[in-house]
Amino acid sequence: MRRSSSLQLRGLLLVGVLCFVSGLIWAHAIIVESRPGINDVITGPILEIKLRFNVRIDGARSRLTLILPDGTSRPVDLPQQVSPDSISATVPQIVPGSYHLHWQVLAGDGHITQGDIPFSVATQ
Amino acid sequence: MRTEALFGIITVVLRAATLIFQSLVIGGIVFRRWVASEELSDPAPSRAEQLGSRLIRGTAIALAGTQVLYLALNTYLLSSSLGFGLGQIVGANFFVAGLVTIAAAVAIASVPARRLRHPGNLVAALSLVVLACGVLANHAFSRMEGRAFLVISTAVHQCAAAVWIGGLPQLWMSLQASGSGWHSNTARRFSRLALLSVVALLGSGIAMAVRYIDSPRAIYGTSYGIMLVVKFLFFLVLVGIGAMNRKLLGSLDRQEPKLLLRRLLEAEIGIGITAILAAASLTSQPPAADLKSGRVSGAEIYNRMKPSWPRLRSPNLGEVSPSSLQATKRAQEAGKPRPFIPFQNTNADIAWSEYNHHWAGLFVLLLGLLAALAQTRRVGIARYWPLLFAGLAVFIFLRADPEGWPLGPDNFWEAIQDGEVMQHKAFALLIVLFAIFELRVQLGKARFRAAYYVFPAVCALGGALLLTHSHALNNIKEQLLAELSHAPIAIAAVLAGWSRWLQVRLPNAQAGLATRIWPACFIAIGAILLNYREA
Repeated sequence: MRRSSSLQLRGLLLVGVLCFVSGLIWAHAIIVESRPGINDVITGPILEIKLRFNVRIDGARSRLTLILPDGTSRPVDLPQQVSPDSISATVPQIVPGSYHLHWQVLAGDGHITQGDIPFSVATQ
Repeated sequence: MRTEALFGIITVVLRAATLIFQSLVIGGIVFRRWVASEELSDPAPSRAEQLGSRLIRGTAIALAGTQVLYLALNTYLLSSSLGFGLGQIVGANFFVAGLVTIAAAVAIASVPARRLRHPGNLVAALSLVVLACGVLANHAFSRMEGRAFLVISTAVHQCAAAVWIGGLPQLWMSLQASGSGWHSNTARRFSRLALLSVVALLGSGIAMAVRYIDSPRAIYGTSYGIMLVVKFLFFLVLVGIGAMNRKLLGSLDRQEPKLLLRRLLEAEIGIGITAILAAASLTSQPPAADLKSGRVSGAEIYNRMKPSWPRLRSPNLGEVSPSSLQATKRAQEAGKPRPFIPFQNTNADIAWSEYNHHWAGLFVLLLGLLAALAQTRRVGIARYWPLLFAGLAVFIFLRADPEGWPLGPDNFWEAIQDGEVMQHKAFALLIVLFAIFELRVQLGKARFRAAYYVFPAVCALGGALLLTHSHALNNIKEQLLAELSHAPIAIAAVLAGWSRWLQVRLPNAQAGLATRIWPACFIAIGAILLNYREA
């Protein structure tokens, strides 16, 4: 679908009327360092994950999900946080193919943020 | 519209409401305890005291209610996405801070009226608890470096904003409800406290900006930087109004300056609350220092913003991207999979949108010029300037959504299932109603006084709400470049709204400058729209 006539027009409408809601996602916690990185190609069979954020993260209320090459998803167990701004995990027995790592974190100040990291596992 | 985006916007609005109510509660308590404390000698409560305590109670209840909604929404989001039960969520920082805020707000609201009129140490301590919880929901609390420094700076910042902006309605009520005499002392005491707050706000603001903004480029190259500039501009406007108010303090024994002070306070309250909305928008964005990539350069801004001739010829309807809905329907009928439709705008789409903006800009520019002419009372026909709003509404109704009725192949009911299309159609209708209201006001035919406030209220609220949505994910450049031009529109709309408010609320002889500001703001909005570009 076309991105319909942009923010400005809606801004103008707002000046004329009242309410306005925009379709932008709410961003707060952002990744400053990630392993795997976006579009990385790694070798298996063990996947080491480490995501470091710009703020403190409530690891107990955050989640990592691995979207497998066949489209199914698999939750990733998160061990105790080593650092307040990071979450890390190890996934064994990962087969070659294209993956997505979906993350959702709760920041220390209550913001919930999510995102995706696409990556591939190469044949050894 | 995606559900998560809607939840995101609701959360920003709830955070803004929390900050506003928090400021009104704290500012109200400070005012009644320290600023109006000399009025204690009279055993019978004055009207100002009664109204002031009611405002504290009302805003405390509103704060508790807002926090209940915020906790419910965040809990729902977490439980639905993680499959958690309530027991696993209650230990989260936001939940604990929210519960404590609710408890403190309910406790303040439950204090007997006579104690709210002259708050004691307990009520003052409860307001400190509210402040502390407010700081917990801020960037500072979740930072890794310089956390203690940032937490203290944030606490000073929020406290100063509350004392100043949150105390203004109390001062307004004191002036409105009391007889002559004592209130000038109250106003002087408040003025001194407000001045102190201005210094504290500026000092703590600079201290935080040094940590959150790592370079001059981050000021104009990130959403966070832009919103900070917007907030600072509102701060300057507020300081300007405050300075005017201060000048009036010496002549409050006369009716005219007293009335002018009350009206200026109304504008100061409105713009102050708008500045708090901008602050809430900031708390929902990553600080500029955290966003190292995707920043917009000065050259990119210049290329996008440099004046160029408006696009006054539209591309043909057949050139713009075809209806995605119709393509999907055709694929379904043919038993084919849903087609991939790129999200990117084509050159024709961009041309279509720019044409819309430029003609809308012409409407608004002309409207502002006519409104300015109408103020001179020399050209009678200029009073009909609100009709241009109706013309604008028809233009938007016809042109905004080329995929749907009446121009595109999607029928009306299909088209309005898209949230944005529905907004456009609904807004166009509301603009027509708005035009009718204001036309009746201009022609002196409005039956109700309330009709006079529709125009200023809509402008001020529209501008304020426009500020709350600025949340570009990771500073996508295009989004940021659009923000760079709609932030001035929001500021101009807010200033137009409050200057028009002053014109409506003041006798003609006192309204002087206000009558020139709002038409100028519309001219500025028109000019910005005329130079709007998407590529």
